[in-house]
Amino acid sequence: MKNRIIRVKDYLLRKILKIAGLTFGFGSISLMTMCAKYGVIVDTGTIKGKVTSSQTGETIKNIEINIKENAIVLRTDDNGNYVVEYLQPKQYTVEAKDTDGTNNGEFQNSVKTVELKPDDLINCDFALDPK
Amino acid sequence: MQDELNFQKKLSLRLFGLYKNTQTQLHDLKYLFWESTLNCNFSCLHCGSNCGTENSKDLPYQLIVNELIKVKNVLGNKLPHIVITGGEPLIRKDIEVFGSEISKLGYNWGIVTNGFLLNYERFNSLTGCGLTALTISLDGLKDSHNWLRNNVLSFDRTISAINLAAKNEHITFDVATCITAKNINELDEIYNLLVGLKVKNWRLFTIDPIGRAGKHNELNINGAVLIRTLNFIKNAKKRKEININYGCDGFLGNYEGAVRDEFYFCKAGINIASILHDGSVCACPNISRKLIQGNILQESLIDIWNTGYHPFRDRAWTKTGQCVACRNYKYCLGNGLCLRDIENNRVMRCHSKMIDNVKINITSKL
Repeated sequence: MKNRIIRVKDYLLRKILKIAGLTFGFGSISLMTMCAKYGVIVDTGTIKGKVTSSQTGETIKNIEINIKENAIVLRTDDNGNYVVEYLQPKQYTVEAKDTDGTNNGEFQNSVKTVELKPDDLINCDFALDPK
Repeated sequence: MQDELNFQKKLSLRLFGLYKNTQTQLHDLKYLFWESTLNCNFSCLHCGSNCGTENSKDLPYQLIVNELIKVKNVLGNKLPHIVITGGEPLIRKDIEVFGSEISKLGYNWGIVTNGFLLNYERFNSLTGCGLTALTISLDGLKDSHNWLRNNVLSFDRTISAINLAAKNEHITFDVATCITAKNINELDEIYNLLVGLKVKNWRLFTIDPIGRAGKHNELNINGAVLIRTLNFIKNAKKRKEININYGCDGFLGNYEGAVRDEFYFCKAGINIASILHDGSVCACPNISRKLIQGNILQESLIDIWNTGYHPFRDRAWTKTGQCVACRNYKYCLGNGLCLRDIENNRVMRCHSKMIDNVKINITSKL
């Protein structure tokens, strides 16, 4: 719980700093770029989304989200949300798959392609059709 | 007398300080160096790690892969970026196999190289195995670069490697230049050279008094050279022909926000770890080895990360000597840890003080 509060605080501070940067003329300040001396530049972005039923609009938990280019597999939470941070800017194929059988209803798979740029926060929502 | 920061800068730095606190508390591992070898095809005069052609015994890559599997088991999809460094990593023949294996695990990886061994075939083989980021060092025009590198062919081979990398759209590529007293007068020409080669990112940092560089006083810089470098970056940024930045080390007073894409933040041990050539675990590889936190031959990296790194996360111990009375300490926390003499607990280089001293000298002469 404490960790979650710190994460929310961290997210809000990033937003405030972005606004302060633009207001005070430090517009190029990027908090999603990592670089260390004698290291490479690492630009990152975030893909997040919500999975719902196209028929009822209800959120669906436990849907498998597969980000193919990075071999990342995760599942939606109880509210149908997922988030993947620190991704290298490039094109990603995001697949939503119902792999838990008849639990939470049965849905068809869906695939989307997104182009992630440095510092981007991309919403990649899915409205899955029932089988 | 320190140069006073303006109100907007103070406010922004205070806000940024809060962000630094949350990052320190979260302690997410985002960036992991692997010092793959201490062997190098050169013996550069300015090398901060004293690397050379002697035979260092390197760890097999499988050991690192095993550690990265354990990291993935704990961190899931929030994987750090892997940065392969050295010595010269391209001396190793197994970098591609390593890269390929960790790409399959979901890691992004990059290499820092002097570019000498990066020909067309090697470049394609690395990108084919998942290379996502590359840094090539270029330390001057032909004569000064070759002199620093102790090799007459170095400049031409490095430019050829830069040319290859700049044309590739799929990797994040930058050129890193170490500013010394020898190459400070060449900045304009290097700028034109890199813009001509269509390089998108250029990072400049000033030489540190560590490793072999510490023994070559003729390379060392003073406050005037630092200010010249920072003014050069500030002006070049306005031209928007290349994304130019000062390196990560050093709080820069009123230059903060003007020469880097981020305010000063030493992330060593907060977001950055390293596996050194002998399996030791630390933060950035150029930090004193007195701050080593463990060794992967005895304990897993992820356990060391989760239980160690206290001196990196709580830096109150750095408030000694000249830092005690410094009004900027709250923004800087003792400067980059790579610039601290850990044995004597003192800062070896204070950028802010170097800048202020030049201004005081100019004022006193008026």
